[in-house]
Amino acid sequence: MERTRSSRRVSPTTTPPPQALNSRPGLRPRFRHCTEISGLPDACRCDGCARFQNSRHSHKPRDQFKSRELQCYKAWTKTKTKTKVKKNKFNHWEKLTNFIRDHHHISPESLEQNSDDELEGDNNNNNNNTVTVVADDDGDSTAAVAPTPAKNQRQINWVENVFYVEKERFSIMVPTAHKIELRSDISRWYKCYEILMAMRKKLQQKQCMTNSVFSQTLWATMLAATPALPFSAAQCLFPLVMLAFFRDTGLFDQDDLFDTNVKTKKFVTSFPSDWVLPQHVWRQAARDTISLGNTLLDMIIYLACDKGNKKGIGHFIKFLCWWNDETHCVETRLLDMDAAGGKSDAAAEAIRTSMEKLKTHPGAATHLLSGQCTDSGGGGVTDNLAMHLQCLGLCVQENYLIAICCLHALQLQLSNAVNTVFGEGQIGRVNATQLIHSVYRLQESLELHEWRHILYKASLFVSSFNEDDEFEPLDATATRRQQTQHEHEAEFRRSFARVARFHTLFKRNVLKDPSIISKYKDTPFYKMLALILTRWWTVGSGASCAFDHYLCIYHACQQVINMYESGSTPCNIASDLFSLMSNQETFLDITLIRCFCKAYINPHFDWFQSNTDLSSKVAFQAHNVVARFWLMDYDLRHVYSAVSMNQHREAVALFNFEDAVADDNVNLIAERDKHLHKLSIFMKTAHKSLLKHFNRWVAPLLLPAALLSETPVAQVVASAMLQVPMPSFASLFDRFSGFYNYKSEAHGRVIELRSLCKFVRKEITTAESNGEGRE
Amino acid sequence: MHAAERVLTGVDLRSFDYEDVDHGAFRRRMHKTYLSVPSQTQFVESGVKDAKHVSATDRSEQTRSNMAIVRSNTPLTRTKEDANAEKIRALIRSTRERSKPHEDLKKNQLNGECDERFQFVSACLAGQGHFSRVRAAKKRATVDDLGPVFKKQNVAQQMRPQRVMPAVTGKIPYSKIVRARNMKDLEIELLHRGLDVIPASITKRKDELKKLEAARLVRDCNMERKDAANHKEFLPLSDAPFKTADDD
Repeated sequence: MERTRSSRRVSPTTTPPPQALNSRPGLRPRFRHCTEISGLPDACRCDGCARFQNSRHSHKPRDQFKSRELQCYKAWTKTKTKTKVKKNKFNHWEKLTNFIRDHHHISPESLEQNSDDELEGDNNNNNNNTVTVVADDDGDSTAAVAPTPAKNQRQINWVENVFYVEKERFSIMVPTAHKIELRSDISRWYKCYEILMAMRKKLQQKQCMTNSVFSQTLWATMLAATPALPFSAAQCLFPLVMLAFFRDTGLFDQDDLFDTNVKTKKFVTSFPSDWVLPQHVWRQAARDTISLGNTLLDMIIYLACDKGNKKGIGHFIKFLCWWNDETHCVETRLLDMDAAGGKSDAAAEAIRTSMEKLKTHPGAATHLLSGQCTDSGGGGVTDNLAMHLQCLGLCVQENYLIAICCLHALQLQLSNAVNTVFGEGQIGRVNATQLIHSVYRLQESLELHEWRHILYKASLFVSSFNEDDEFEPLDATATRRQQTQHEHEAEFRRSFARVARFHTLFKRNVLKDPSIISKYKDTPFYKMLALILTRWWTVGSGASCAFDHYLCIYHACQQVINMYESGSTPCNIASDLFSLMSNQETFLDITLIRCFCKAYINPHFDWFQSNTDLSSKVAFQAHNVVARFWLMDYDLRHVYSAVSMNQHREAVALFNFEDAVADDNVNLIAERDKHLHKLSIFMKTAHKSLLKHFNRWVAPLLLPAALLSETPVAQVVASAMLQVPMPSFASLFDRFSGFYNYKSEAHGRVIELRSLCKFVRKEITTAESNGEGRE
Repeated sequence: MHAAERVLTGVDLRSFDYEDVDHGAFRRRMHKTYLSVPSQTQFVESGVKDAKHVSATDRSEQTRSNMAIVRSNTPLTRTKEDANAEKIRALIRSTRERSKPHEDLKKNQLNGECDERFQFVSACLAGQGHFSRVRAAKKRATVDDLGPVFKKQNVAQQMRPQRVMPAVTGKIPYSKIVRARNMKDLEIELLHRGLDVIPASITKRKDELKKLEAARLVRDCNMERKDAANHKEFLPLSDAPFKTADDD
């Protein structure tokens, strides 16, 4: 017990005599942080110093750390009386001041004073950094900063910074860690920095947000431009595209934006989702519709519409058309393609809803339709649709123009004629339509490369076939099987020889091997389209293909029959087609369709599809339709004398000639009469259809459009309208022929004006008798 | 008539001189009225084709229509030279031209009229105001109205006897009888039916069987002679096995 007491008691003999505390500033050490107080235990250090000591911040001096957590408390600068020590720091302050007093023998008060001096000294030092500008020998000014030497610091390296102001050279020595730059440059860098930071921030969003109309429009535009890209795929695509594109710029190099783990960052959520993307499209559609409404306010608007069923929805496509005064061009824009019912009242109701979107106020009497153009058959077309639109108050009250699609009307001539004379194609029927369709079916029943190879092999046979060559007989050693084969081949050869005599213009050249060519267009290997009588050019194209490669297809049928088992689809189709092709009458009909298309349908189709006279836009030739009507009528009357019909004439001449017997050709003559009769009905039906569908263009409401055609034509139409004599076109009169031939640039043809005048007057009378009086 | 008179007096209505004091306004009216009348609708067919494009991935009717509207306002044609770059430039230019007026409208609007119109059009394009809802409601109403009104049953509605397969009836199609399996069977069957002289070829044996079976059908089943002759199956009366498939 006593020992313990004695051990605790400080022995007066061992205790050193108290030293006088040092209070002279010059001799005292200058502390900046707790860590610089030698021998100070870790427990006596402030939080900032303890934190700094435990961290790995060693890449720059302690002074340069500005974060609050790493700042030293500097307890020695505080005294109880002068600076109030915080309650939570009192323990640290007491320990530290005691340590300095006990181990460094420095009075805390003097340190506090010293700190004040130091601060003052620093200020003085700053003030003492004088810049001396001196002129050197060259006359350049040199500015030099005289640095204040600092104790206990790293050595500072200095470098000369040279710059020019108003052509005057300045040179300033600054530490190598610093550099003098132009203020405008710094400003620019700052802006760039801000942009970069905005970019980085944009890539770290919880969700994609943009108030920029431009951005929203661009999103919508790019999605609309790639309709096959699903929104669900787009939402994955865009982040990856962004990453791939900017990866090499270093934008993603820093860990705070995009780390290797990826999942911790918001990069993936910064792009539009498959919910937002359709929203952009929807909003843009609304903006475009509003723009369209603003553009069309108080304009003369026409509607062109058609129905098309796509993936279970009967889209009713509505286009608006108007004349642009400034560009002198017709403009068209899709109003929408919302579905509608098939009948006229349902179509009119759909149009009403669509037109309502253009109006500034619902139900306003603006944006009235001045006319329409539709197909000429089915529901929701022509006069019936117009009547329903009138009932709903969507049209102008007077002079509402009802046009029909000339291409559709032209195609109807072929369609009506084919259906009347040959009948529609159907399995089991023997007619031209079924023949063309069977060629398509046979192609579809096989793989395309197989079909192409079959055609290639057929072309080899066709090119080498010569009717005069004798088919080599088999030698006596042939087996029964070989003999049977030989008989079958001989039978085919006889059939082939007969078919080959149908015409002299069949293509017999060797085709190129389809396996070594890359482009199939304009070759027989090009995939044939399904024959649809009301779809533009498929009929003529199919007939042409069948005619040109008749022999190849014929041989191909036999190949398919040889290859496939009886009862299989390709064998059945090929057998039917073989039978159809063997029939010369069907071949004649094919030739008629081909020649009719070539001589009559195709030239007029081309014109309707390509002419841009005056309106600067295809499909807006209402002013030229009357003259074209006359040309079509003229062509149809003279079609059989056209050069393109030579093939048909030849086919008729060659008809059944092998059966013709000099003394008994009654049957042959009867067959030829039948063909002439067929031809006559074909042409009459086509002509009837022409007059029926194009007569509308000489009706009083649409006829004034022809006044915008070329001057002589316009004057002929004007005279017919006014029922005055045709103007005397003296310069156009040809004394030898007695014709007024005008070479029309718009039509690329010669128009005989007197005949035109007669035709227009006659058709006007017909239109009047149809119930549409002149105004 | 007025236009025709002008044409006959030598006025050129094809000119684009709209400033002409005498005829400028008239020309403008004529051009506006007649040049924009469509003479064919192939461009509408392009809309139908577009409908096919935007129908990809089974989008809703509203989204299809919206995409088509945006596509209609977007320059998607390709130029002959520098096609890709020109197309991208055209897309950006179009985007700027289309977005700028709306930024201005939004900025300068009074009493929120621009926002109000935008809301209305948006609702018409995709939402409660879309035409598809009206159409669907009409269809439902038609079902409600006409569904309960009963028509007289038509011919196709009449009940027809079920086609029972030979495996169930015990009859055997003639087409299944082949020489390799059924020559003996035919012989037994024909003898059973009372034929004395059995033909050598299977075709003739089948023909005989057909005749006998037709006679049986007329006699026992009261079938019309023509129908009986066209009958494709027969009922074996003998104990001949008549295998219709080869043994495995």
